[in-house]
Parts: sequence; structure tokens; C-alpha cells
Amino acid sequence: MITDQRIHLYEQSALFNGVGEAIRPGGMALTEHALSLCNLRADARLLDVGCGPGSAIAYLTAHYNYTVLGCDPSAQLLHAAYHHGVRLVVQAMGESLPFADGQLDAVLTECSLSVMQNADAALQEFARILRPNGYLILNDFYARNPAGMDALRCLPIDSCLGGALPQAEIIGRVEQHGFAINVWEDHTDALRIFTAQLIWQHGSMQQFWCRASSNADPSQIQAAINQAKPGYFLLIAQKGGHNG
Amino acid sequence: MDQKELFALEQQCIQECAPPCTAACPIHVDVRAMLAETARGDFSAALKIYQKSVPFPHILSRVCDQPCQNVCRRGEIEESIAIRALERATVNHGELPEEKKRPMPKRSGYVAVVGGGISGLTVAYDLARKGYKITIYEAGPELGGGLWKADRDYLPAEVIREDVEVIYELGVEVDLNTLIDQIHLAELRSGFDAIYIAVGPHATENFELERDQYGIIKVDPVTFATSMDGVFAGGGLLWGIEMHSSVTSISEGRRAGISIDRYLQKVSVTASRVNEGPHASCLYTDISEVGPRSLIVMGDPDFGYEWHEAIQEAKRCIQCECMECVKACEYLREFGRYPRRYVREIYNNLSIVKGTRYANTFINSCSLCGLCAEICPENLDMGAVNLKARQAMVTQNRMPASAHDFGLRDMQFSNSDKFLMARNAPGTTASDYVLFPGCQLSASSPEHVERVYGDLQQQLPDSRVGLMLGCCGAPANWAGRPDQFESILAAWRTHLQAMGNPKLVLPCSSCYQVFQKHLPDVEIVSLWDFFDEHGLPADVTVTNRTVSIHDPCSTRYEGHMQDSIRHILGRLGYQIEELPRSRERTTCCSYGGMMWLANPNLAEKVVQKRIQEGEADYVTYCAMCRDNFVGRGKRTWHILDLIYNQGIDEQATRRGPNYSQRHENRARLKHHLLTEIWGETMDGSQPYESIQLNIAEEVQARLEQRLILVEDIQRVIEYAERTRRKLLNRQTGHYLAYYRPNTVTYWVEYLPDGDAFTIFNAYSHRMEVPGSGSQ
Amino acid sequence: MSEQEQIWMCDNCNIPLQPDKVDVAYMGNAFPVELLKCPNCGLVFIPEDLALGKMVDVEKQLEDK
Repeated sequence: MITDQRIHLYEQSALFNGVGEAIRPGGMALTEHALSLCNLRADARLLDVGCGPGSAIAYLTAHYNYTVLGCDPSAQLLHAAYHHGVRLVVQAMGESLPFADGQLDAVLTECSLSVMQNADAALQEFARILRPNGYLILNDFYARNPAGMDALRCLPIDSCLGGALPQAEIIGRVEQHGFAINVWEDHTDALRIFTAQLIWQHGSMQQFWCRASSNADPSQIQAAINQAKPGYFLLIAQKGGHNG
Repeated sequence: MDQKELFALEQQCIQECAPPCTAACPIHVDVRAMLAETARGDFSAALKIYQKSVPFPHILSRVCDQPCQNVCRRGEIEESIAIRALERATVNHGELPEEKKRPMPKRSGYVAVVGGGISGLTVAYDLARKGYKITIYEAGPELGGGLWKADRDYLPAEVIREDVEVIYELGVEVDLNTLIDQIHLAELRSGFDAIYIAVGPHATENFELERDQYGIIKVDPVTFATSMDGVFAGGGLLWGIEMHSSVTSISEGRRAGISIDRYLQKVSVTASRVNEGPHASCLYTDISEVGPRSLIVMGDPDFGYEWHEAIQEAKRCIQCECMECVKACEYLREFGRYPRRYVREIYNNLSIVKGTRYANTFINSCSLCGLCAEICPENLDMGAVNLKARQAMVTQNRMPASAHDFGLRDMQFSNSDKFLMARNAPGTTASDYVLFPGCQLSASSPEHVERVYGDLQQQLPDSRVGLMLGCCGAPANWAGRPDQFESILAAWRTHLQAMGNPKLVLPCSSCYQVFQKHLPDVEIVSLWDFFDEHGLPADVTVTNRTVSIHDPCSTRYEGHMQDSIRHILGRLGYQIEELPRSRERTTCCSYGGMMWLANPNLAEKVVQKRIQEGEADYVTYCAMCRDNFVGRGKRTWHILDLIYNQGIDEQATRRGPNYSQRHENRARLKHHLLTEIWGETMDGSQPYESIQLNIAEEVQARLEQRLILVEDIQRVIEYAERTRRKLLNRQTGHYLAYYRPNTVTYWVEYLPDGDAFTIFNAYSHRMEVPGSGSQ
Repeated sequence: MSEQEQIWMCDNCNIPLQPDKVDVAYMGNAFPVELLKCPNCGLVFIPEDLALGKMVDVEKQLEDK
């Protein structure tokens, strides 16, 4: 299945730089920028959903007074996290989180919602575990040209980008689960350096975007990707109050 | 480039103009696309295209008066395409997929259509599909109006009935046997939001609308509005005669429908309504190469074309398009589109703030040679657009460094102390003439430069002839850097003033172009015009060989220079076999605009194409053209090779110097001239220049391909040996050092060998890494 | 130790190169990668295939080609 392969891709360490840090568009700078836009208590409790080897947890724990928990479905990555000294991590899928209702101040979902099997179930879980007015910090790929996405899906490839949705749909889904949107920002610029890192790590972009079957024409794939105009966004939403 | 400029440039490219058939069609059927599908045998696709413009395809494909045929370009060769017959074949052989029951849009607005002829039916059809509520009032017992007067053999009753059935399917209310007269019209006006009157030419109704002297209702010819607000009229009643043209009736209904829609939406009814009816086509199509293909005769005229006959007839369509520049220019062809699209992409490229600019390579690959403007019926100059785009990219700090860096550094070398000089003849304090050979002739054939200088002095015994060395600045201009370009021009102005404003003698046509266009106050003469006027400097041995002339692209509009070259060749006894594209239509050798740097693969195609255009040996009068052609194995002489060496064979096959040797040749030329003629010595050499290198031939070839110069390697070694910052390979014992003297980091693998250094390898990259010694 | 690590020495410091995090930059974009580096003076090693392969691809990417 496509989703399995995507997760598999993460495990292949395609998305880690040479020194074991997870790479994703925007990096820690984007995470810190997002946190600065939230009005969090100094001792807030955060959950990093899809934490991978825990680099964000380690960084935030070292630089802030937050308590940062993490979860990831990959045992291999959690193992790596544990070895980096990150202890507060648990093996779980975003769609089913082993945390009690209304306990967390913020949920971080960085570059991981688009690889989840059921984004709606995950959003519902986020709403459940957040306290009223708790923050959802979400950054991920989105489709700036949804029409172009169709062309990409038509190619004989399994595409990681297949999970990218248009802006309106992402916002609609988040709102549907009782969140009020505070911030939507385009961070497509961050994709450039991310791509450069991927090429450095990985040889080529196409290997990331697509796990191409042998008969796919790479230039055709690149043209379709260009058409789809993959973008990157940051969204910050707040869970509605008691009555919301 | 702003929106307005973009729009003007887009308009200049006529490739997307409607072909004559579509332009002449009152409802603009895309005949060309329809026939392309028919020619492929896809009648259903063809029908889909036809039906997109035609509301009643069965009817119109039988009765259309086909104004398209009169303007069909095939008709200039033999009989025009049988367009209506092909439309009928499309209807006969094509099938439309079952239309998905889409929920009808709903719009508020209730429209009365008075008269159920084809014009009124078109209004009802168009507006019902937009979601308006419609009632048709027809005086007769059946919809169709004037159609019932057509020959029944040609237009059988069931065809009319089948086609107008769609009106009922769209939910239009139809009141048959209902005559609307003056009283009723007033009533209607209060019960409806808008009215369309199309009661035909012989109507007896007496509406109280403004009329002309013949009693015909006055309407606006564009909007079909009558004198009464919200009342529109069209079709045969406007003409007072039975309409002979159903397609015109449909067109008028369609245009009235647009007006009514806008009227009901409360937006301007008159705004931007151009070319809605038949109009002239602005598309240019060269049909000089189109071969004959006679009209296909129908086996059964009553049925019309059988499918195989229709395919053959459709294949007669020329598929009119312009593409003149794309046909002529390898670069425009390379990127798969045409200027209208290119201009739009360039605009997007420049205005984009975030995201990826896909057109960078396109913009930087153009040779700026001007061929497209010469060929384009509207003289659209993509080179000018690209140059502007490059300037904008530089201003926006978005120009990729790799695009022109090497060429700009080559220019900087030529305008450094290594080569730059300006001297009056020994013993004089001013000059009447100054020879300015430019950078590339000096690099390719320094010996010619020395000879030309000597000969000029001989040929002008009563004048003072000075010499100026350097690069004119063309690369800065090509790279979109007007600041750099201006400062170089300013330097020439200063030098020439100090020499008493002499006349410049120019062997290089690129220099000529720069001085002519950008320093118009400087008096210039092409060396070729000078020789033509003053005679050849050397003793001439007349030959009787045949050659072809490659005119450098910078001489495109310098007919005098092109003539002079032909005269000179004539005097030398050469027969000239003109290339198919010469003079105004000559092509670039790939050096122009620095295409060769920004897009080496394309440059290769361009130069390969040019050298295959003529069998005979080439003669040219630009050093870079010569070196580019000879480098690919095409026997080519520079005109000076013929003048001074009588075209000995080795000259036609002598490869040009490599990039390092070009620098060296220029530096040596200056040194030699200074010592020999002016008795001066050069000073101020850099420490690295004294470093001696041993480079094997295959390593040298690799360096050339990688654009690494000897001086780059000398700098790395000087830095590494001075700072001791180098790596040691324990397996080979070789040193590896890196240094970034400019915008490139060079890596050199070497070993000291006595006083010299042996070079095993070198490579480079543009990314910055720590420790590269850059400031 | 990889083969490359055994081969390359910093000549001045006379110690073997070791893999380490190095910031590389192009057109104003910097990011960390792992390269062989002299632990003492910071001299780095870029092999030929990296310079002519992946680095060119990265440069192009950052240039928006």
C-alpha cells in the first residue's frame, strides 16, 4: 500500500541528515516560529505526533521549559529516539493516541498528517486529548494546484504527494473537528532547501516524491510534479472551548 | 515587465490567433481542431468540438452557408476543404457520450423569447443552459420558424424536430400558436425581466420600438439592444429579408444571449465585446511548401462523406499555424512552445515571489541573435524580452550564478592589466585611427592582430594609428548587467577622449554592434569596410575555390559589412555558394548571448545544425564563429586567414585555443606589442603566475571541459603551499587542496616536482564549504 | 573507519579526517551535511564524484533551474 511505503521511506532514513537529525521543510526554525505564535504557558505539555527519532523533542526540551512527549508508529525510529536520550516517547499511531482526554496544551504534527492513513481519525484524536483552547500546530505539504495532483495520480507511480490536499480541504477538515483556525501561512520557500538536503542525502528528488515503477519516465514524473506545484504550509488552530 | 507590457508582447505573437476558417465563422467553430480529429478518424471527438459551438448540429451541418470556405487557405492552392460536408460527416459518424445529468444551475431571471426560429431557439438554448427561466412564444404550430421554408430533401422535418427537442429537454416553456403584438409586448415587458424578439423578416407584429427609415427595428449592432430597456432583437427581422444564413442567425442569437445574461447580472452589456461575429484572421501561415491534394468526391452525395472519405478530405486541411520563428530557431524549438507562451512564462518567472522559477534556463539559453524578430510577421523579438528578463533577474538578485559567471570572469580578465591597454602610435600624443581588435580575435589569432596593426599604419601613412586592447563589454550586456556594461563603456569613452577622439577600426562585429548602439558618438569603421575601400593589405594570390559565407549574427543588419566580405572574397578569387540562411536571416554560432555557457547541450545542437547547412568550406569574419565551427570538424576560415595566409589548409582545420590559452594569448599579445612597438615592459604580476605546472594532455582536456583555467590551478597551489592547508592521500601520496578565488571552489590534486607541480586532477563546485580561503 | 577515512589526512595537522557535521551554503541557503573533516583545523574533503554529481544537482535545485 502507498501509505505503508511512505512510512517505510521514513524508516529508510531517507529523511535524516548524516548526523541523524530528521530533516523536514522549515526545520526547527519553523517549529519555533509556530510556537512563538501560540500563547503557551512556560511549563506547557506538548505532544509531538510522528516524532521520528525525536530531534524536535530533544531540541525543545533543551531550549524550553516545556514537557514534550512524543509518539510514532515506527519501533525502529523510537529506538533511535531512545538512543538519543529522548525518553518520553511511545509507540502509537496518530489515529489512536494512548493519552487521556483534555490533558495537553499543544499537539505538534510536523510533516506527518499527510502520511497518516486516516487524517480525520487523527484530527479527532487531537481534539480529544487537547484541553479546551489547546493548540494544534500542523505543518505539511499541500497541493497548490489540485488539478495538477490528478495528473500525478495518473502516472504509474506511488506518490508521496498523493496525500497532499488543497488548502480549503485541509482547513475544512480541521474546522470540522471543532478547531478554530488562528494561522495559515505558506512556507513553500522552505521546500527549496529541504529539496537540496534530500538531493544531498538521497541522490535525486524523484526518489523521494515517487517510488517509481520501472516503466515510469522520470522527466514525465518531474513535469507532473512541477504541474502539481507542491507547497508547504503552517497551520495553527485552537480547540473550541467547553461549549465549542 | 508589467501586465500591460506583457499583454502587448503576447499580442505580438500571432500563433494563437484564430485561423481564417474559425475567424470567418460567425460562431467560431474550431474547424482546425475538428478536422484534426476527423483526420485521425475520431469522429466523436470531432463532434464534441463541433457541438461546443453549434447548438443544433444536425440542422446547421446541412444548411450552413459556410463562410469559412471562402477564406480556407487550401483554396489558394486548389479547391477549399469541404467543411460543411465534413461537419455533416462528423454528425453522421460521431457519437456523443451520454451527457451526465448535471444539476442545472439556477439563476434568477425570466426571459421571453418571441419567435421560435433558429435565432430565438439559440437564445433559449444558451440562456436555459445558464439557468434562466425561459418561455418561447411562437406564432406558428411548431418550433423552427424559417427552417420550415428550406428544401425538405435537404433538411427533412424529422431532423428539425430531433434537433429542437433539446429545447424541451432544457425545460423551456413553449407557447405555440401564440402571436405577440404591440399590446402583448407591453404586457410581456412587465411580466419578464428581459425579452428577445426574433420574429423573422415578414412579421406583421407592430411593436412600438424605434425603427429606421425602412421600418426595420433599430438595434445596437454589437449588443442587439433595442430602444426599449431590456428588449433585444435579432435574426431575420433585422434584415427584412429571409435570412440566407442560418449560422448568422445563430450567431446573432448567441450574441443577444450574452447581452441578456449580462443585463440580468447587472454588469456592463457593452464591455470588451470584440470579435464576437465574423472577423479577419491575424494568423500568418506560410503555405509555400504545402503540396497539392485534390478534393475528395463523395460516393453518395445524398448521404454525404463515408467515414473513410471524410478522413481523406480532412487530411487536406493545412492545419494553419504560424510557428515561423520556432521553425527557424533551434532554441525556440528546444523548449516546445512558442513566443506567446514563452512571454507568459517569463512574466510568471519574474513576478513569482515564492516557489520555483521554471523559466530561468529558458531565459538564459537565448543567443539574443535577433533572428526571430527578423522572421516574425509582427517582429516580436524574444531576444529583447530575454535580455530584459535577465536584467530583472539580476536586479531581483535571482540570477543563478552559474549562468554567466565564467563569461563575465573572462571579460574581467580582458579588461584587467593583463590585456587592457590604450596607446597612441609611438612618438605621437593623439590618434586619428585606433585599431580595437576585441578580446576573441586577440585570443584566437593574436598574430593576425599584430599584422593588421602594422598594415593599417602602412595603409594610412598620413594618419596616426593607435591601438586599444580589451573586451568591449558585450558579455556584461548579454548577462543582463547594465551597471557593469555602462562602466566598461565609460572606460572606453575616457580612453578615446584621451587619444583625441580617433576613429575606431573594428574587425569584430560584436564590438561594432556595441559601439554603434551604445556609444553612438564614437566614430567607427568595420575593418572589412576599410579593406574594401582601401584595398587588401597583402599581396593577393587568386584562387578559384568555392566557399560558403557564415555571416556572424551581429552583422544581421550590417549589409555593408556583408557586402565588403563578399567583395574581398571576390578579389581573392573565391566562388561563393550562399548558405540558405545568410545576411538578415543568418543564425548564431551559439556564442551569442552566452548560450554556450547557460545551455551547453542546446549550443551543441545549434552549432551542429549550422555546420551541416553547407557542403563547401565556410568563411566567416568572427573569431568565435570560426573556432566553434572548426571545433566540431567543419572546415572554416576566418577572412583574415584567407587574406594573410591565402587559405592554406591547416588554417581551416586549426582548432581554436582552449580557455586558458585564450587568456595566455591575450596577455602575450599585449606583452609582445608593448615590448616590440612601444619598448615598454609589463609589471605587477601576481605570485601565483610564476608557478609552473605539468599537465598531461588528457588532464588538460578534462580541465577544458570543466571550465578550469591554468590560473585557477596556480591560485589553489599558491594558497595551499603558502598556508599549508592541504590534504594528503595516504594511498597515492598526492596532495589535494581547495581554494575559492572567486565564486567557484577549485580542488586540485597535485605533487611538487622540482620547481614545478604535477597536476593529476582538478574539479570544482559552486557551493561554499568551510576552509576554502574565501573572504 | 571507512576506507576514505583511512586514506585522507590533514597534511598540516597530521591527523586523519573524521566524519562530522559541516555547514554548506549556496545562494544564501545553508544547511548541515556530513563530510570528512579535520577535527583540529576544520579542513574538509569533498570527493570528485560528490562535487560533480550531487553538488551540481543541489546547486541547480537552489538556483531554481
